[in-house]
Amino acid sequence: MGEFDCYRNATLKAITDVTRRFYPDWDEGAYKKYLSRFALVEEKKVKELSAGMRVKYALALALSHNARLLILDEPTSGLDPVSRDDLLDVFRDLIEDGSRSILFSTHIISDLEKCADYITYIKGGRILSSTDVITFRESYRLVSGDREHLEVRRPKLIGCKEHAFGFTGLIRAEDEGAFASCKVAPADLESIMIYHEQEDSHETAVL
Amino acid sequence: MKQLFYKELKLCLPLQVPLFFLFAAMLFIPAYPYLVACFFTCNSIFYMFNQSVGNNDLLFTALLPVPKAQVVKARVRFVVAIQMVMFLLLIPMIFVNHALAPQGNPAGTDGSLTLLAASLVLFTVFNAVFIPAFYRDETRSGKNFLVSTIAVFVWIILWEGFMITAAAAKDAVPFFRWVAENLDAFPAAAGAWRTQLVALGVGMLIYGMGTCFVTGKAVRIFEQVDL
Repeated sequence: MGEFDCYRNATLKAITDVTRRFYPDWDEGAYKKYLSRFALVEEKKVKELSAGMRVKYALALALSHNARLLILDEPTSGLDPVSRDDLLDVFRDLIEDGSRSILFSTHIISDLEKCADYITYIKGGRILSSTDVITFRESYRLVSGDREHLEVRRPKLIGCKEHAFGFTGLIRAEDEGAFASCKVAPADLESIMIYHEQEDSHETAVL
Repeated sequence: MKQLFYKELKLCLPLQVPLFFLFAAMLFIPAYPYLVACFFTCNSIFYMFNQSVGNNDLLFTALLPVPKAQVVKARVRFVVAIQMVMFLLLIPMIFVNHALAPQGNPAGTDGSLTLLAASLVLFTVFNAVFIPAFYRDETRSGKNFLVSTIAVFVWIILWEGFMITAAAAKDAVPFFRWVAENLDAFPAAAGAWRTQLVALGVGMLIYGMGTCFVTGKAVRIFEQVDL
């Protein structure tokens, strides 16, 4: 589920009236609560909602039949920064009591920084890593050093960028010892992703 | 199934469907190939499927807690309901047609029970061509409709052509006389009523078997579609 993009000429009321019939444990009180919380007006048509409001409507429908796991496909894609932040707040609130989980795909790294507890990094259809955010971040390091340090250490680098003064790159935490003479810093999610993607282009270049 | 049927009624029914029922009034026209009135019902059904594509109806339905087969079955039953409304509307129209033009229809089948039977075959032809093709690839519904329209008009031309020929050659060929008096014309004698009721029964049988075949085939196709 991403943003609700069906029956654009139908009102939310009509769509909800149909949807609720499929769920015996539909919670009308919860539905009204989420409508009010997300400032959704039932008389509005789907086409009159912004992208963010459509995601919220999809969430309201899912939460009103007590869904415990919400699977969202790029829910924040195409939203302006304010709406995105607002939606991430909603996600955080929803999972706060521990009774629900949200699995969402995104290519916006700041979304992950703000609200993800666990990360499954999929690259080329292969799972590179699936763990909690802290462990994920701590399993990598950013290193920078002179060019003279680079060549012998290159095999240990997941990805690197060379510049006039030397290089910066990403390594696995267990390889930190090999870079004792370089500057080593904790890695952030964005760097991990960028250097991992570079790894691919490097391989391509080598091949 | 009841919930899916309600969904079809509430979210998928375009205005064209009830509006095109008015084409049943084409039987008021004294000389016209009346089977064409049923084609307009097929046309409105195409609008419904086409609108469903624009509305992402399959995506919405796939997210509901129902098996894929039920999605297809509910839609086919809804199509059958629409066609049955048109069928029922044609029944009084036959009598109105006979009252307005007792001399018969020079442009094709007269208003008769045989016309009802032919309309059921027309619906069967449309359903058999259009519905499985829609579930194979919903994005090509325009092309599928064109193909089904050609199939429907082949049936209309064959049927109406046969009836026109029978009316024209009834004095020369005994078989055509029998067709013109017992199948084509509004039934006057008990024998004609019997013949036309048999024809209507055959039409119903074809429609019933055709619907089962279409449902099964569309379900099998849709089960293989990766949504």
